Amino acid sequence: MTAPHCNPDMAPGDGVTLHLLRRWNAGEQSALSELLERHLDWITSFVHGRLGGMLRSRDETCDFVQTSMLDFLRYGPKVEISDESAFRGLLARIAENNIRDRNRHLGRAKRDAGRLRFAASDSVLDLDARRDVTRPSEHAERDENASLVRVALELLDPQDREVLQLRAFDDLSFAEVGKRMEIAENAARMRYSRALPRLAEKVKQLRERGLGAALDRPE
Amino acid sequence: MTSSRDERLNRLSDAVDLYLELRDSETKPTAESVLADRPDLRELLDPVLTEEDVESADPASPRYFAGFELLREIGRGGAGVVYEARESDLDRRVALKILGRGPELTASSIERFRREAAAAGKLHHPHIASVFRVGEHEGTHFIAMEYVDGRNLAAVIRDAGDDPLQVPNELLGSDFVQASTELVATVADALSYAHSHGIVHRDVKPHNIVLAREGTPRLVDFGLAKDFGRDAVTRTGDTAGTPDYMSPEQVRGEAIDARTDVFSLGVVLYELLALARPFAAKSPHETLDAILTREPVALRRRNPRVPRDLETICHTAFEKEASRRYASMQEFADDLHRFLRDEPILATPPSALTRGIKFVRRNRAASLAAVFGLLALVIAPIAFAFHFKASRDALAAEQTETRRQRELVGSVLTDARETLDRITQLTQTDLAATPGLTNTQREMLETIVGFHEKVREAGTNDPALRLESAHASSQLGNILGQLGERDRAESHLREAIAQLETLVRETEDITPRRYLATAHRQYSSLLGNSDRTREAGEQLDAAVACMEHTAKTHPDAHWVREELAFALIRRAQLSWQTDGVAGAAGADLQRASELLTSISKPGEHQPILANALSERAKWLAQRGELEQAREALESSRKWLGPLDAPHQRVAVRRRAMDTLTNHGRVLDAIGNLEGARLCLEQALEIARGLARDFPAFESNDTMVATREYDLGIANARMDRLDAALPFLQSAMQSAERALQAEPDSALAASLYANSTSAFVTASMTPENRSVALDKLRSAARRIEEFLDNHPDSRPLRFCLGLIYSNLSLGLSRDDDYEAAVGVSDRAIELLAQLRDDAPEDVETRSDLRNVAARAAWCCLKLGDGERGADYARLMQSTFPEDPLVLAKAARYLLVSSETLDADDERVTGWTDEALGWLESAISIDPKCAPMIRRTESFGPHLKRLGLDD
Repeated sequence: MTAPHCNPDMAPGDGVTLHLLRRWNAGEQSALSELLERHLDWITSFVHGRLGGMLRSRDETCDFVQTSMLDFLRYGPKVEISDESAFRGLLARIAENNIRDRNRHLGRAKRDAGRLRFAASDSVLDLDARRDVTRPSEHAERDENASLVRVALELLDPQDREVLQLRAFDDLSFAEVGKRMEIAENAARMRYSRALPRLAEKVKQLRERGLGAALDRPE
Repeated sequence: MTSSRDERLNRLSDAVDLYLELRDSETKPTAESVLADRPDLRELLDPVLTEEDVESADPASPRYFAGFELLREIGRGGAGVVYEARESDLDRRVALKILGRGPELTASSIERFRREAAAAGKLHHPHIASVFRVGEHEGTHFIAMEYVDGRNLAAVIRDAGDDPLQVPNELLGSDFVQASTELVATVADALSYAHSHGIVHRDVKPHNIVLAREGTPRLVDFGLAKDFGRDAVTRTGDTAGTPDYMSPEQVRGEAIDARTDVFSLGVVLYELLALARPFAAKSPHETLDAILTREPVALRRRNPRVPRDLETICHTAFEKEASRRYASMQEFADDLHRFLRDEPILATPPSALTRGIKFVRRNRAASLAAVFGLLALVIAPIAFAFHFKASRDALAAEQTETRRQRELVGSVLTDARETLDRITQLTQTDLAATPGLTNTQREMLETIVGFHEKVREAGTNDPALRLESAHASSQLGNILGQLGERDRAESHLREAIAQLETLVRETEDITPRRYLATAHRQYSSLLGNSDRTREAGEQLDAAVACMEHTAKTHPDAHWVREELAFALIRRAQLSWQTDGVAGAAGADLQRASELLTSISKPGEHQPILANALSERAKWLAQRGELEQAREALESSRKWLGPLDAPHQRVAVRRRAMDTLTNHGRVLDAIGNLEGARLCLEQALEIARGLARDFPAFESNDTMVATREYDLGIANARMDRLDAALPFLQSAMQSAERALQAEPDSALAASLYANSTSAFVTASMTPENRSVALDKLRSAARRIEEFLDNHPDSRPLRFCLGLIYSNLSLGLSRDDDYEAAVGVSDRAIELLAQLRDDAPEDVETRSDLRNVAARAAWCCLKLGDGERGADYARLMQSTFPEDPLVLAKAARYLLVSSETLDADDERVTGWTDEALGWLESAISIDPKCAPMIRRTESFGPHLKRLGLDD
């Protein structure tokens, strides 16, 4: 799929998104392409505003957003998305999390440097898109619940999301989690013990009331 | 790719389902029974289920808040709760004040809270608890402050009992009155500092004065701080403050100012000395009434041991009419200090500068004439006696008279010289910065020059007078250097050093050694200003050696440690410029810090100590020793003291500015970007204040440009480009002015080039890229020329390396990969040389890594695997112990190998080499395995690495 021309002024039409969502949820992959095309400009502008011009040109923003959106949505969350606002909210949250993950990764690299200098961007080190663990392989999820967990992870507070990813997906001990997050081991354990219940609550909200209710803020 | 991630996702999903089942179950099974059926979920669920009961698991529990671990509640006030907490990210204890969400949370209280945060954030004083962070977490506002471990004064007063004549010695010392007065004087100094920043505490009371473990008082909780530069937030009916210590104007709800704190502190002093509050009553309402209408019992009636002067001071402080109190906290503090020194109170002596100027103006002709006249009296008889060979008795009589006169002259001469030395010092700092006084400064200095020249020309064999003469030469050289006459200055300083070295050999007296060390330092300054840095370093080596020897022979001489510390600091700063982190700067700074802290009352050395510690922190951060850098930074902060107070001397303000700049850089290195930005913001504020107050300073443009550049970078690092660009642009303009004023200044040139490079790169867009690249090329050419003239300049080499690095970035964005590689080579040449000179410098290695990575990427875009492989190896060499770098370099090498023909024998070799790096990475840090597993390029090799599961 080629990247559409990024036009931030393009706005989705009423009802069209919902119709496309229903078609996509019914298994129609072509609906996904149309969905992305309708919303990509908006999410691209959103992302671009958060990345900073120093790090990305507009063309690269399009590529980045498209890749991350597609990778996540292609294997689709089986969560009910009842309106456009909720859909955009989810896209925005996914994009924001990706940016945060990336910046955190870069931020750790920056902390290796001792003196204040205008370090030229080392973004070229990331030629491989860092494959977030919430993006599954070509195998479909085992069941719908796992899909909900994936979405719920995206909706969590960043600190909660990070501790859960490190513990549940990277299999790190609490000592290692603490080191990675630069907190004490006990603090890592406590953070995890708070994060998992929050994740569970978010899953329950998604299951019972859909995406709109689970989002912290409407976009 | 494997399905392990899916399996982990499914496992997490099962854990979530099981948790919900447990939580919502009516039967409430035990954790153990649940996990017995699903042992595979134990690792995920155990921490949750055993942390507390599932039933009561409440994600909103306040035990953990915004990155803080709440340890215990330590106070509760009108607007919120204060906890002792641990800030996990920095593993330090804080006092965390959290605003409640109840009905007391009004718009007014939120606004007051924010003002408190903004106001308190400006304060950095050893006797004021710092504000670390302010923020909002899920709609709840909080402030994290320094936690002061100790007892508050309220507890001390309580334990003192009821009888002020029977206070236990262990509370504050054997003399409770003296100790109480010293304590209050210290708090007054701290409050004066806050007032100078426009902040009134408004809640001064014993509970908010904590005696830290080492016994020093710390003012905490500016809970009702009001920036009196703004309109009053608190309106009548919303009075804030504890009744017993409130001022009459607070009680009446009127506008308040700094004299409110004077009142409250006066009440605290009274309570300490009398062990009773002056306006105590049965109810808060009656207390308020007493404050307004009742005169308190005289202090000495409650405690006859209180001297009259102290009683006067105390009662003056809490006069009901503000106009009858001390006009400022500083006046209050001053009178307390006078009392402690047994001086008359309520007197304000002229400043040293005023005294000096008045002395010279009154006595200039007379003092010089008297000295010259007396010199003539001394010299003539000696000459006469030797020349005419009088009888032994006559000669002895003459010599006796000569000695008497010499002693008289020596005494007057010393007094005059000390006074003039002091004036010299002041003219070089305070007056130098005052507009309109430059001519006066010059006139005074030239007068003093005349004095010293006369002393020199007098010529004598008398050791005491030779000493004065040598010192005069040294001072002459120093002053002539200030006046720009460098050749004459150097001549006099060399002469002084020669004379003093002779005197040092002749006598064990300590004074010649002091003068010699000073002369070496002064000469070093002169050489440093002429870019003769190696020679400057040699002079400092001599000063250090001289003082080291003196320190051994005179271990109790306080000033020896000072002189030695100053020389070490100067040497460290010089070493930093020439050798970078490979030099001895770290050891010198540590030694200097130890020497200054060994002085029992650092007093006026506080700013110097803060600066020295900040230099050390910066040096440590540069080497990547972040933990130690953090400790040095914390030590430096303790001594930072007042910032940019109008009454502070220029030198103190400049030192505070330099210290804050260093703090910002160290905080950036340890990852606290917001903290870094705040420090650099304060540094810039001071710089602009100095430039505004003293427009005659020649170095204003450079001084301001440096801080603007730093702040621009700090904002850019936080991806706040909108905030960064104006600072960078302003830095560029200031630096250009500086360069026009001093076309040969390497500092101005590098500053201009750095800020241009930063601004251009940050504002680069596809539309303006070619113009931006031209600007970068132009800046590079300019600096290349400078480098030809200053080949040893590390700052210039750094600057040029940075420009080429940014140029390569821009060219790569323009898809001009060949050109990007070309300029990368020049950047690599410069950075590699710097790296070889100072292998410990982490930042240089990082820059080299980045440039090598970009060059590798460009080569791969060109399909040039051979060059790509070379750059990959260079990249690997920068951090052979860093798994992330190893992994990325391995990726480049593997991709490079793919450009070769399949039957090229190098393919196997490069692949093996890359996999070897990956194996090293995993061996160094097994937690990088997931990252390697996820990287597409490594997919075909996971089996060989043992990572396929």
